[in-house]
Amino acid sequence: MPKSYLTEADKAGMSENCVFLAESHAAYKAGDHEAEWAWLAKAELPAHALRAAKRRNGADWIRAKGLRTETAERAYGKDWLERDI
Amino acid sequence: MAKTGLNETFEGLFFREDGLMTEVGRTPPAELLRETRKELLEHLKAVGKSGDLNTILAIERSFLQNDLDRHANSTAMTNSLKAALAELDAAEALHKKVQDPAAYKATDDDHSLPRNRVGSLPKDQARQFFSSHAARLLSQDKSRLEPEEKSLVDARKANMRAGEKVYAALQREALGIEAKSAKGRDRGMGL
Repeated sequence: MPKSYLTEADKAGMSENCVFLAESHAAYKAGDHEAEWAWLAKAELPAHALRAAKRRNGADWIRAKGLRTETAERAYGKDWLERDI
Repeated sequence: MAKTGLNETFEGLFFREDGLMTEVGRTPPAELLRETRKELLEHLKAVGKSGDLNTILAIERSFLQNDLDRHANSTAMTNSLKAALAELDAAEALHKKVQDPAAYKATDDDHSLPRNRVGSLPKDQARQFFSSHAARLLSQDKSRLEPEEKSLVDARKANMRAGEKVYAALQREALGIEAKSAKGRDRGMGL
């Protein structure tokens, strides 16, 4: 697990995915960008957000970040990173 | 592509914003809110179909007042809502007046110039409200709202069109203009 910046009380009532996003936010606030992205890589991100980032930065950037891409694969097809979408 | 620290910051923030919006949408209150808005939409559409101008205007007043009381978060938004409510006041006053042909005669006379007519009918403050308010709602449709909120804005816009038709019929009645003769020339706001 990446370094945690949240207490159990902070995470109370949050879904697992929400905890990942909240941890990423807390790491970002702490200036720990490695943990910020490591937590983001654990989160399920919306397909449209992944597509937008791919359009801005390219497929290799998405791969290098190690982001989970199953939402985009469901929405745009398994080969969404190889195709122009 | 070389990346700067600034871009990385934005990318992280964009991901969290999108991801958190999706998470919020998955909570029980968010689901209930969508359901409630769907119900509201059905009732709103029914009001438009009813052709009851009193109710059409009263419901629109409720939306505007609620937006002003609870959601207005900029001077531009507050001013726009206050302007809409003032125009709505004028439209309601004219709705009463147009049902009295003798009283409405003065309004007709005040709008004698062609540029102050819509077809054969006065482009009075009620007609101006229906068209300017529909345009105002159209610009809301371009803003960042949930799909259910967009549908509500659409229905309110449709109700403005429906309200204008009812009002135009009352104008024709007050002025003794046959609906047939006005048809084709009185095309309304065309939005």
